Amino acid sequence: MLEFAREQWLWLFALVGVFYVAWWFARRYRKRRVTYGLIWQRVARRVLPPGWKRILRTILTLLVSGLMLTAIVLKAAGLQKSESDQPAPLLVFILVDNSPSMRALEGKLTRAQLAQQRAQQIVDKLGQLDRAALVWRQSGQMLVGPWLKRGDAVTDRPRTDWSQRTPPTDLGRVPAPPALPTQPTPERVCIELTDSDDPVNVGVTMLREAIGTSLHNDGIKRAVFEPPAGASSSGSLLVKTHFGADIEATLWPPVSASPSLPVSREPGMTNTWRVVLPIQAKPLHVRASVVPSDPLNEDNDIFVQLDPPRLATVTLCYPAEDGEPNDQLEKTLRLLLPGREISAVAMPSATLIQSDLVVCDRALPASYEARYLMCFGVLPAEYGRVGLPVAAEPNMQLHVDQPDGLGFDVPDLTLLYGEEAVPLEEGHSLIPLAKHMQGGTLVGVKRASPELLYIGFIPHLSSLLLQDDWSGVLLLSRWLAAIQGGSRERLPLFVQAGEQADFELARPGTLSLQYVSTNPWAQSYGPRAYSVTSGPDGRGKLGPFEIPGEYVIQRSQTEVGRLTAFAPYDPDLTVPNFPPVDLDGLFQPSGEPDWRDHVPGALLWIALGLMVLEWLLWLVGVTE
Amino acid sequence: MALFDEATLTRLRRLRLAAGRVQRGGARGERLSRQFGAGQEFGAHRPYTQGDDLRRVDWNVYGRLGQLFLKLFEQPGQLRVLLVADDSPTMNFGEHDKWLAARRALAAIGMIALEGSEHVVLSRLSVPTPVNFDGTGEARLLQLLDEMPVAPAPTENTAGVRGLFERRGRDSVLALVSDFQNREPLIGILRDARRAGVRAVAISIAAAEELNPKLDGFSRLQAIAGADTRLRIDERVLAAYREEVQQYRESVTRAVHAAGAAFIELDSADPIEPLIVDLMRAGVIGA
Repeated sequence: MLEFAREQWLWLFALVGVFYVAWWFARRYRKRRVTYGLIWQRVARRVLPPGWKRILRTILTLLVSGLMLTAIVLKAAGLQKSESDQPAPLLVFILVDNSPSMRALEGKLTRAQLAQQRAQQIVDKLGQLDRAALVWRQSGQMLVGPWLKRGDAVTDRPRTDWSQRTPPTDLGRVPAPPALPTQPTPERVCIELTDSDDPVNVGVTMLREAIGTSLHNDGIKRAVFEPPAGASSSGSLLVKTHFGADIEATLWPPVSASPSLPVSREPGMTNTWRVVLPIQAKPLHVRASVVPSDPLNEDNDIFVQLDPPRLATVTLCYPAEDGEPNDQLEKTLRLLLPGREISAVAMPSATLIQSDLVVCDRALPASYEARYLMCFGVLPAEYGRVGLPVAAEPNMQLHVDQPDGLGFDVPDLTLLYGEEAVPLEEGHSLIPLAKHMQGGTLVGVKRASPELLYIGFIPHLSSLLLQDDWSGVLLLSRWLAAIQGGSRERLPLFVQAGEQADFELARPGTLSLQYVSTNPWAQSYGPRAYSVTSGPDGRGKLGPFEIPGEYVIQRSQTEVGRLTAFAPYDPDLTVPNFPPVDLDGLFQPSGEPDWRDHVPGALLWIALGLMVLEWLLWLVGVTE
Repeated sequence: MALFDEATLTRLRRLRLAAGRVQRGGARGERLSRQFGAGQEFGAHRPYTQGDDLRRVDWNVYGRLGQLFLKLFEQPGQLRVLLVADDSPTMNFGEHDKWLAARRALAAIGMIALEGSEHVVLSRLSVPTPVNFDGTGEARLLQLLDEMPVAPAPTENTAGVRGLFERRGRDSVLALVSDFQNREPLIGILRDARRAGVRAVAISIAAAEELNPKLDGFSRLQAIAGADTRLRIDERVLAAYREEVQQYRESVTRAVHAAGAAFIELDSADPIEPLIVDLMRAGVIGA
């Protein structure tokens, strides 16, 4: 009801009763000497209400005042109980099991959270003189929290203790709260909230209560990346689970369009799934997860960050007078870039060409956005100009150069046959790879964005793309491999907590690892952030990790990957059959208020009701 | 406290009773002896005082009682003035005591009568024995009235007063002073007086406190004559009381008039002059 419903305010109301009774007795009839006694009697009969009304009101008044006085007397007399009625205070040690298995999810809450809720229930049930303290294990010791009284909040949530076989503490020697009376001597009891049936001897009466239910647990056991073996993927991720739970793979962070990746059970391998990684120009993040999630979900997810081929789309520009693109060139591109989307556009065209690789067969697009350019006989003006065609005789020997830092080896280019070649004029900005014996650059490269490969041989006028003349195709293949080649960085995906894993960076640097704190589980002690600097060769070791779970790997404030530190697999999530502790029976002693303690308050409520009734009767005119 | 001051006494001595002459008809203007004892009809005894004529001592009474009493004889034509005081306890009430006012009224009438050499008989309801006064008894009348107390309880038996009407009724005038709170015996007296041919004047005395009481709050009303009443007095109660008192007094007026008596209402706080004026209007007193 309102704040008035609190008993403290109700006793203020009792003061009304005191005033009421005082008024009742102080209401003296002043003696007046009068004549016309008979007339006064007649007036009295005329103005006074009927006798039954006066009797009714008198009865109500006496009841109200009597009840109030009775309530006050009872309350005053009952404030101090006799010493023999005082129960012995109960000191309750709530031993919260914070072993790793208590991280298991029971619905939306972990067993540890359920244990905390149960501890709160126990604290709320304490008697007035009872006290409770949380006890948990940490780093090989049993810790005792502060004493709590009824109404206090259990704010301590013991984190997961990864240490094994913590020796028990004699709780009988823990000092009692100083505010408690020494007589009678407080009794001690320990309530253990656990999912384990391992007996514990803490020196006091032990009551055990099971938290949680027996659950099945699975998780990722191993994850292996396989480089692309076929023509249409960036490789595969082989994920092995303990018991064959299903695996779901999604792009990360999730995107709206087709976030799920194809996952198939790997034939011939037990509990193993293959996640095919798509070809994607940008760095690829994939999250493979056990579905549905199981109670210990720290090993349910694995993150993969790959540097897949950076080249996904190809546009072939050809002169419109050809009528169609060079078929041999197109076939060669499909051979060298399997799985890519290759389109052809006749030039000139006002269309903006947007593609990862633009191949210009004697024709340049008016405008383009590309990261890679492969030009045959033409060159964008910003890189230089092409000269006049020269004769290209079969078996023409070229002067091939091998510049340092090129990133690939230039094959010995041999032209089986050809009609003409288009050298570059002097002053171009490319790195010459092959020159005509007479001096002009016939093959040049630029290793900066956008990367460019210029070939002075015209595909349909030379044997450059013929398989018989392997050197041309080999040049294209090495150049494509070079521009798509990923960094040499290697970060671990899946690390067992407590162990170390190697990593390798393309260049020396510092990695920072941050624990993803949004996970509802794995509350445990230990560092939540690491900073690791690689050696001069870019190599180093990560770990060991105190807290299992998911970590973000950052370099220069940019996320470069994620790893999962998993705890030793714990398939045993069974829970012993301990019944709940009967708290009502435990805290039933006579110290708790019984019906006798509520009598004064009840009498006051009755008095209040009667007073209201009296007022109502007066208002409606029944009494006067 | 003296009943009158000297100036009032002087004014009262100038007044004469007029009612008796009217009663006696052709006797108007006749002045008989100023002293009892000269007539033929025995009137009453009174104690002997120094200077009285020893010839009028009733030696028979002296032989029986050993005390000297004079035999008073009323003379024909002499008016007998019956002063009857209601000495009910209710008369002793009010800041201006009703009993004092009543005694003053009786004293005034008695003085006027004695000044006119009339025979005065003073009686009160609770004491059946009347006291007679002749022309020399003014001082004793005043003293007697001054010392007259109220009765401890109301008197229902009025036989003593009614006995005064048994003889010589027609030359008598009755002055009955009361608050008429015990109405029935008084109305009975007035009726008997009419039957005996006694002309009666009823003087009703009321105190302001009982007509318009200043009471409020929880009150235990202790009636001087009657049971107590507990009331929480407010304006509504006072209005009802005033209404009831008004009705009662009107009923008294009607009853007195029905008994053939003149009725004069007097406030206990009023001086004696208004009473004299009312008595004149009633034809009881002449200037």
